[in-house]
Amino acid sequence: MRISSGMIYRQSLDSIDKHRQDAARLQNSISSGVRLHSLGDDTGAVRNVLRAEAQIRDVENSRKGIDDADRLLAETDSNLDSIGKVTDRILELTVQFANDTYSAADRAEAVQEVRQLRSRMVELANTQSNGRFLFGGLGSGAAPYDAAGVFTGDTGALEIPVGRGSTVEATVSGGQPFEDPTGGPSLFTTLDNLETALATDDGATIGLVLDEVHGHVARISETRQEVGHRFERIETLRGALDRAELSAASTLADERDTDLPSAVLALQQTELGLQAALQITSRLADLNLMNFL
Amino acid sequence: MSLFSMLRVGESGTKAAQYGVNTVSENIANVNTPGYARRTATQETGPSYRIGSLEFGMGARTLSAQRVVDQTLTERTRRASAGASYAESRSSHLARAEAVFADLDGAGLSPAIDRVFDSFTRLAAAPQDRTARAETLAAATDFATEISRYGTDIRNERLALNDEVRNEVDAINRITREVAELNRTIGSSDPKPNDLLDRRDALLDDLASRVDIDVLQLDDGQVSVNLRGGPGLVYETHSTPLSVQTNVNGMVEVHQLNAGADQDLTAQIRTGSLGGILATRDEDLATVETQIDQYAFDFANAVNTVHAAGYGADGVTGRNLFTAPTQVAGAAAGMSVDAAVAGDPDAVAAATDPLLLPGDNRNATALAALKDQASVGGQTPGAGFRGVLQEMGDRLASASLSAESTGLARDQLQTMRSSLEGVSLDEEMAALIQYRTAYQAAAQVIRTADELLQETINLKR
Repeated sequence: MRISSGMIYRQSLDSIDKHRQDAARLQNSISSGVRLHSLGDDTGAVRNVLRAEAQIRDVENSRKGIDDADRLLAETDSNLDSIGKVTDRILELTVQFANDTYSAADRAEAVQEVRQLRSRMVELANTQSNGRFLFGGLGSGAAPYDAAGVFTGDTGALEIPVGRGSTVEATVSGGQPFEDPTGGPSLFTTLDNLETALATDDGATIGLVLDEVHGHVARISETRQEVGHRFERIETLRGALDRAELSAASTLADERDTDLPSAVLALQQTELGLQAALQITSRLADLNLMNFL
Repeated sequence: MSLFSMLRVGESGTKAAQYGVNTVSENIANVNTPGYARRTATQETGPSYRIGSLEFGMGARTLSAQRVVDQTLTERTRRASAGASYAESRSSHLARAEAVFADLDGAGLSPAIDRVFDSFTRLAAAPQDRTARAETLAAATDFATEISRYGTDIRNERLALNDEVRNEVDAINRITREVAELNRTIGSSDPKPNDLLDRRDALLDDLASRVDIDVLQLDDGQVSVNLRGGPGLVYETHSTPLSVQTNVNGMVEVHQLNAGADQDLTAQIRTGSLGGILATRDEDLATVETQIDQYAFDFANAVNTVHAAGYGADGVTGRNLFTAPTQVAGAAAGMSVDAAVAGDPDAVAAATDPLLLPGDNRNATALAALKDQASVGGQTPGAGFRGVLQEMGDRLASASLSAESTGLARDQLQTMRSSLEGVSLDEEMAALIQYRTAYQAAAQVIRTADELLQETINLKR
């Protein structure tokens, strides 16, 4: 093949150019730590990177839902604890005054305390968190218990989405644990009955009320257990989210980040090639017949 | 045979050598001139005559220097150059349009989509909280702004290519006009002027990189130029210019007024840099634009359907979250939060049951659940938009790959052409020595003839 002078220059220039481009690309990916800079770079890897980034955002989103549910449940739990303590005191009083050794005067004195306990209980039943009544059901438009202790809420519960279409119940059902789902008297009705019985010195009724109070104590502890199970579920979900995040983050690192050792090695090779191309160009440029004539 | 004729033979030798040196110097002077095809000086034996049985030569005859060209190779190089310019133009214009997409850096529309669903989840956690409602509106507004920017920017990238089409058409018309003028001069000269042939070849090379052309050599040295498989651009000394027209979509089309009939050539131009610009604008970016519009259309409708079924904190139902798009085209650019909802957090429909206001979050949950359902064009909203990004990525990748391979093919052919047509300084140096020696020898012949003549004159003394 005939080699024209223009060819020599162009080919040298082309190869220098190519090495320079490679070096620039490698330098960019080493200094930025990222090897994908365009959607067209490595379409398979780009697809995985975009999906992994979305997964990480998903996890953050789900975590927020779970945190919200966790906060509401924690408040519910601490309220149930207070409710339990008040109920325990009611149980004590009921057991104490069911005993007929107490006089009518003693029983009348206890009415005061029962009234206080009752109003404390109404307060607890109407607790709000960020504008939501914890025991008011789903609608939560107004305080679920009026002064007479009548339930005005609904029996729904707030379910918060936590990703992938699943939800966590963040409150107990409206009225739980104050109302008796089997149709028995509510906690407030029981307190009313107790108050009346104490005021009228009716030992037999106090004995009946005692059974009701036992029922309420059991319901409160069942409700706390239920809330406890939800905490367990939340921990499980958190674990799953942590694992999902880890796997997405490792995909992201694998596909997007520069493999530094091999990139540095490749840069060294490119530098070597560039050096060789430059040297050859300068030598070829000097080498022609004119120098020998 | 006389001594005088010997002088003339010697002279013809010096002439031939001189012309050779002249050709060499021309080649050396133009070693870096683009489009220059090297010349070769040729000489042949001069006429001879006979006296009796003896034949006497009359020296060498110098022929006009010829350009070294191979029409077939030139033709192939031009085709390859059209293909490579097409791919390079497509690749570079697509790369420029890619700046619209910030998604690979974790910015742009992808996170905005997720933020919308994120805000639905937050709303579901606290539907009674006015700030959560305001956040939902803010996220929806951000999403609408961002997708509208995508739609507008892609469209603007397409419109920006209109100017490039105009520039290309101007350049093509300039070239065809000059080729027609050169045809006139070349056709009327004999021998054909090499510099004009060089100039015309350079112009045709340039033209071939812009559109795919067919060059036909006519007998008198003129050329006719056609769009490959299409109408003519140059015939003899006439050039037929291309023109541009803007169509109803705002896109500039390439037309030609030929024999009184206006012809739309846009679809016929499939290669060259003009073809690359048209393909980027009318195929690549048009597809991506349509996909974004379709996505916006489906997204708005999917969210609206669920939103309209729910109740706002004010107990009103049937309101859209996004302005309902009337058609797919322009749906992305026209995306906005519906006027009935904008600026009114209470209008965000979180509830399913108007009797359970404000605590009912079931509609917010249903909105949040759209994220994991095949709600947008048969895919989840995230995957649906990733499909658009992938379309863009695939087009970028294929354009850059084909730019690389067609570029290599063109370079190889250009190397072959340069190998044939290009000047080699070594070769010219050798020719210089050759002609110098020939000149010295021919001069010696003249000197010898002169001496012989002197001898003849001296005979008389």
